[in-house]
Parts: sequence; structure tokens; C-alpha cells
Amino acid sequence: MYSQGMVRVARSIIIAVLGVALYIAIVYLAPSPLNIMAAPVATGILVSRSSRHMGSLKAFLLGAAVGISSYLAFLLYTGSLPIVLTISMELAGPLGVISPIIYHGVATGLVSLVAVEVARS
Amino acid sequence: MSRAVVISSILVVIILAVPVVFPALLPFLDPINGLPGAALAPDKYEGTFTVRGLYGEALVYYDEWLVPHIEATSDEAGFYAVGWISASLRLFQMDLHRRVVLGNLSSLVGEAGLESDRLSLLLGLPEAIEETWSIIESKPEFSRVASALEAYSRGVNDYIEYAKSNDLLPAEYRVLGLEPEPWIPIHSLSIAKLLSLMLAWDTDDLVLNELVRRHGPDIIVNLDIVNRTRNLAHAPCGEAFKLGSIVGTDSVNISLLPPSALLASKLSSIYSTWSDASNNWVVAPWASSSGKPLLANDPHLALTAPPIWLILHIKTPNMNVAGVTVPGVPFIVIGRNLNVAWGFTNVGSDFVDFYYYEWSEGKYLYKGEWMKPEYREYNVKVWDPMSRSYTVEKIVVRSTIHGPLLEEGTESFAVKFTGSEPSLEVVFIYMLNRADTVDDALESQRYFIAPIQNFIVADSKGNFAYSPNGGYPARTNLPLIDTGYGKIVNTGFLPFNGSRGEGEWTGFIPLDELPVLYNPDLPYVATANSKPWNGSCGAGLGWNYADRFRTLRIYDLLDSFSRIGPLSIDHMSRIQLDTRDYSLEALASILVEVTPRKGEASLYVDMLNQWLQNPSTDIDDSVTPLVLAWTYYFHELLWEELYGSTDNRYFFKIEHLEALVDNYLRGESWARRYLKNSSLEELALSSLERALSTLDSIFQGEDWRYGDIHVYRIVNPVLKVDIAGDPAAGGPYSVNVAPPSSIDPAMGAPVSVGPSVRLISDLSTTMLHIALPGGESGNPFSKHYSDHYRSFWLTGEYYRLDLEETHAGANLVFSGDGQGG
Repeated sequence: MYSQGMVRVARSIIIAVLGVALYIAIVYLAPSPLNIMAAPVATGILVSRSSRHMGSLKAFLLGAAVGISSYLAFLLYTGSLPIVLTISMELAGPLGVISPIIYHGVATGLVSLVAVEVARS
Repeated sequence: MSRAVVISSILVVIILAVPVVFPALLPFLDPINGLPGAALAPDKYEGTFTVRGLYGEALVYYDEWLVPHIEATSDEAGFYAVGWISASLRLFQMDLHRRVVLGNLSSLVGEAGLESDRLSLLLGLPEAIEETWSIIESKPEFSRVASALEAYSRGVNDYIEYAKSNDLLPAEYRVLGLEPEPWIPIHSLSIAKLLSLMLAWDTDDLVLNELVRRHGPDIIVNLDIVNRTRNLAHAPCGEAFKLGSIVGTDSVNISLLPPSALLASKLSSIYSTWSDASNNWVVAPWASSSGKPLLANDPHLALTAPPIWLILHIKTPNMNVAGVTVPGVPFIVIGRNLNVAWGFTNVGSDFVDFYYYEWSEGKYLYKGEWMKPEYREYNVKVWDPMSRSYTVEKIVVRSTIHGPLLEEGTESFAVKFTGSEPSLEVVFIYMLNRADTVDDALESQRYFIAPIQNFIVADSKGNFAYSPNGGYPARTNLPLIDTGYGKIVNTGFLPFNGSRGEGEWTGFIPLDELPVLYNPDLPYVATANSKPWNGSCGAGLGWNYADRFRTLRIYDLLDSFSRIGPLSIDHMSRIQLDTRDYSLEALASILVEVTPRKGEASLYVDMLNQWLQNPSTDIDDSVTPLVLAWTYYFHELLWEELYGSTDNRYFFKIEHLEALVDNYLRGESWARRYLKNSSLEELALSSLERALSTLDSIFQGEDWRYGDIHVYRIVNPVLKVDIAGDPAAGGPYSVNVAPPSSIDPAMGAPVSVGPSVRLISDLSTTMLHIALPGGESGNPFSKHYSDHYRSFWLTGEYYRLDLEETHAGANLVFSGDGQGG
């Protein structure tokens, strides 16, 4: 049969995928700027459900990966990634390119971390 | 709870607050409503829309190049569809352009638009278009034009509402954090006025004033600035031309005029990137392989993404017309219908006059009377995209009896500009779209004031005509200037003494007094911004024409092709794509003559000499980088010597330079007087030094290749994304024009001006050949943003549109339930 470790990994992957779906759904459906504020919170909490067995760092990294993946998934789906990068670079320099990565990744990761810690306490 | 959790929670709150505290970052953070969300907008819209109150039905077919073909059962439905489709393709561009003229560009793009707003408000452009609209709206003969503009506006507004409710606003609005405001007919008129601002407004009179102040009035005669005897006229002077002779009234001491270099520099910089050059020509039916006239046109304007023009094909029971329009205008500006084809190039005439006065205690002297200037005040909203809020800037305009005052410190000039007058160009274009014959087209020109164009037109019956006419100002009380080399009448090329009532406008010269070529006994007529007429026909009508080189080259090509046989569409295309540049050859010949053959210089003189044996501007040529850079700096240094700065260098025509050099070499004392600080030989060597230094910095020891420095840059004005980056052949005066905006070690020689569209019509068919330097879509995420550029314009191919082609399966239907008509 499957080891407990394998089950945990599978569970993490499923929750990560669900996290990406939840993230995109909230960003898509909620009005701006509430959408990009609510998505990291809801997704971070969801991701923390699979992270309670992990340490805080791993919870943060999983949350960050889900946040960044959600953002990039949208750009890849629409094929807009290269033009978004070009325009962002022209208009706002490196800050324009990295700010979405930092925002979606760090916000989701931190929420996940906090949720894990709160659940543990 | 651990400290880590508290700190993390605080960080979460801080990060999540970023979009609220820094709203300027929102377009980059929000993938749906921000910049990336623009990628979701469709290229083609599908479905049926029922439009309340609209009479008739319009079907829209997009072809594979996203060109909309609109077939409507009524004009009203047709223009409604044109409005809807234009907005769906180019909404932000339309908004941007209307605001340039309305003087509220800064409420869209922020402080970057403030200088432009100041100029438009100062020139009274918003008032002029409001007055134009009240004329169109109130006169029964223009009721169909008014209806067309209203139907178009309605279509634009319905699309705006549709886009807002479906999150389809263009990327530019997302970045700026704004939404479009409704469209009204005045906005379409403002786009027409934009062309006047781009093509007819200049401060050349002030630049010449500064030259005269520095060197004396003899420079006008010696550099052949007004008479332009080295220029090549487009057409022979017609017998019918009966312009009243221009007679000066009194001598004035011109050297007492005030300096104005600062003012001229400041005002010209706003539109310095726009070019007012273009080519068009018509081939007589008996010289054409099809037995009907051939007509070609390529207007040279700034190359932007999206392009200035939009391709449209509109069919209603009253017309079947195709070509290009400036988005915002419901009608085809350049193109053809089933029977008539037409094209324009700009006439370098004089549509702006400046007046100076004696002032005392805030009053100006006018014909012996002290008068108080009038005041206008505007509150301009300036958008700050960072804080997403407006500030208000107050702009005050003082006016004299002659017009608004351009003021800088203690210096002021009143300005009179044809573009500031109400005018009916939109009526002209509306009528032109429906013309059946050349006669109809010439008749519609009665409504044309500005910017005056070299209008070339041909019909399927075999008639063709050339008419460089429009609103030429009629001036009175013209002063006579003693240059020391003869007396000349100031017809408006220098500022007038407003206190003495000089140079006042009494209206426009009646169209019937101006010459027209109609079915001349000529195999072809070509125009390329040179002077319209040879002989005495055009005397006094203008002076700041483009140099002769493109006109000469087009005629040379037409002559050489027609010696072999009748002219065809293929010949038209080869001429439009020709990259030989006579101006570089003329300047290179001068450099060969004047550069001292000493040391390293003789090596480069030999290179120029060799290049002149086979003067190529191909992208792979290894000597052309030197030719371009050396001639560019030589021209710049000579101008700096004459003018005291490199500002306004566009004023200094190569024909002026030739006059200076020829006379310098002949030992004329005045030529040596003008070049006070450096001899011609020293300037030739200095310019070579600068050219070599620039080329060394660019190529870093690699072999020189023209296409590595001379590169197209076609940039979106807000998003800054460049669709081009491709090597450009040709030069500043090739028919396929490619002038570098500058030459420097950092940027090389970027080309951002060129043929803004190429069109060719053969009146024996219903086909129109078009090459657009961009695409139909204004959405940078669309494949149709640059497909015409890559597939046609850059490769020398043409998109072909057949006016009689039938389409099946409309993409979009606008169905009216109205009872009007």
C-alpha cells in the first residue's frame, strides 16, 4: 500500500491544484482590488489545510508557489506573458516585472504560514 | 501566539494593502482587470445586436487580416457600424487624438500632455470645432453629414458601454486607471482638426526671424529661402491661373525685430516628431497599361503602434468606398470608391502668421490706438496615474485683435493660424466618398480649408486632376523689405508689425482664382511636398516646401519606366518602395568637394567617392552608415553655425545648404560672413570626426552595416512597446522615406517616421492595394496588432481589397428597429 508520506504528497498536490483553481476563481469573479486581496487569503488558508504536518517554511513555500502559479497560469493561458513582461519593464522597470510575483507569492505564502501556526496553537 | 505569527500577520496586512496604497501598481498586480486582462478582448466580435431607434441593418464581415467590410441597408446603419467597429479596434487611440485638439490630453496621460493642451487651447482649437459643428448642425445642406456624425457617435458610445460592462477596455485605460468618456460629433471634427495641427502648424516664421536677426535680411535672398529656385515644381504653371499680383506697400527696417529663438524652439518641440512629407502621383490613362488612370499615395507621418490609419470598407445604397481613415472620422480619408480614387500630400505653404506690437502699461498699440488684450481662462484637469487623482492647472490666454498671444518672458507674438478657423473638411471628405467623377471631387474641394493638400484625383472614365488648393490666407498691407540684395514683399514668412496693421487677413483667396491641372497633356503628375507650380503661378503662396529630391526621384523613375512601356501597378509599387536617396548623394558630393584631403580624411573622402559611383542605401551596405552620419552632422554643424543652436534644424533645407556652399566656394563675402566661427572645410572635418566617433561607439570594432544602426522603431505612445526593430533601407529623402530621428552612440539612427500607409488604385479595376505599418487592432495582445506591418508593409507587399467582392456569413449584425431614414 501507499506510505503515509506518499499520501501526504498526493494530498498536498491536490490541495495545491485546488488552491490555484480557487485563486483564479476569486481573482476572476470578485471586483478589483478586492479580488487580489481576497484570493491570497482564501487560498493561503486552503493550502494550510495540507501544510499542518509541514514546518512553517514549507507552508510558506507551498503557499507562495500556489500564488505565483495562479498568476502565471493566467498569463500563460492567455498567451500574454511576453507582452506583459515587456510592457511592465518599459513602464515600471524591474519593479513592474517582479511586483506581481512578490505580491501573489509572498501574500499567499504568509497567509498559509500564519494559518498553519494558528491551527497548531 | 508566537512572535513569528504576529510579524507574519502584520506583513500580510501590509502586502495586501499595496493595491490600495499604491493604486498605480494595480494594473500589474491584477491579472484580470489589470494589464494582462486586455488579452481577453476578442479580435472579432460575433452576434446580433438590436439597436433601438436605428434605421436599417448593418452586416460586418472581418477578413483574415481583421479588415472590417461593412454592408448596410442605410447610411445611418452604416455609420453606426463604422463607429462601433472603429471603437472596438482603436478606442484608446481615438480618445487620445480627440484630446490633443480639445486641449484635455493631460486629463488622460497626465503632465506629459500639458504642453500640448496649452498649445491647443491657446490656438483656440476647441472653439473652432464647436463653431464648425454649429455650422454643420444648423445648415440644411449639411444635414446628412450631421446625421452621419451622430450615427457614428452612437455606435462609438454603444461600444464603450459594451466594453465597460464586459471588461473589454483597452490595455492603456487599464494602465492609466481611467475609463473612456462618451463620444460626440465634435470629437470627430477634432480628429480632422488634428491633421491641421500636425501638418499646417509651424513656427518657421520665428525661426527665420532669428536668422535675420543674426545675419541680416540678405540671408533670405542669399540662401534662397523664399523663392526656392533650386526646388523642382510638381506641375507646369497653368494658363488659367489668375492670382492677383502681390504688391508691397512700405519699407520696414527688419533688423529691429525682436529675438525669438527660445520661443520658436519651445513651440516646435511639441510636434517635432511629426513629419509633413508624403508622395502621390497619378498616371494618365494613355500612359497606363490598363488604359485607365493609376493613382498612388503614401503619406509620411509618425510611425506609431497602432498606426495612425485604419482600413475600412463601407458599402451602403449610396456608396461603396474603401481606404483608410483616422479612427474617429466616419469617412474614408484616402482611398477610392467604385469610380474615383484620390490621394493627398501636404503643401508646404504658409498658414501661420505672427504679429508683434508696441506695448505700454499692459496695452498694445494698434493703428494709433492703445488697446487692452482680451483674456480667456481654462482650468485643465491633469491626471496623476500614481495617485489616481486629478489636479487642476489654470491656463490663461491673452489675445489681440489678430489672435492669441504666444508669450515667453517679455517676448510675445500674436498668432493667426488657418487651423484656428472653423472649417468644413469633414464635409469635403463626406462628399469625396460619394464622388462619381473628378469634377465631383474638385467641386467638393470648395469645403476644404486646412491643412492644404496636393490633391490628386482620377476617375474610371479616364479623367485626372491635380489641385493644391484650400484656404490660402489673403493678406493686406504687406511690407516691403529691403534686403540689400533687392526688395522683397513679406508675404507672411516673417512676423508682421501688428501695431501698423501689417499683413492682416481679409479671408481666403477664392478657389476659382487658384490653378488646377485637369486632364493635362502630361503622362503623369507627381507631388512630394515640393512647390506646386513652376513659373509665377505659386509666387507668394508658400515658401517652406520640402527639398526637391523625392519629386525628382519619382519623376526620374516614372520617366525611366515609361520609356520601356506603359506603366503598371507593379511600377507604382516599385516607386513606392524605392530607397535611393538623392539628398544623401547631393550632400556626399558636397563633402567630397569641400573636405580637405589630409591625413585620415582623404581615406573617407575616397569612400564617399566610391559610394557615389553606386549610391546604395541597402541595409547590408557598409559605407552608408558613414554617409548618413557624416552628412547628418555636417548639416547639423552648419545649422548650428547659422542659428546658434541645433534646435529647429528641420528648417534648414538642403537647398539652402547648397546655396550657402556654392556661394562660399565661389568666394562670396556674405557666405563667409555667415560662417563666422568655422570655415566650411573645418565644419566638414569636424562632422567627419563626430561621425567616426559615433560609428566607433555603435559598432565597437565590428564591420559597419547600415541595417544595424538604421532601424525602424514603431512604439505605442502609452505602453511603449515597440513592434519593429527591423533594419530600414533608404534615407531622409528616399521615396520610401526613412529619416533617422537622431544619430547618437546610444540609439544609433532610429526611424520613427515613414510611409504611414501605401495605397495604389488602378481605375480599370475595383481593387485597392494597401500596406499599413501595423495592424487593424489597437490591442498589443492581438496578432492583428502588427500583422499588416510584418506581412505587407515591411516586405513590400500589399493587402488587396476588392470593392465588389461578396462576403458570406456576417460576423456581426446591427439590426435597427427605427423608422427614420
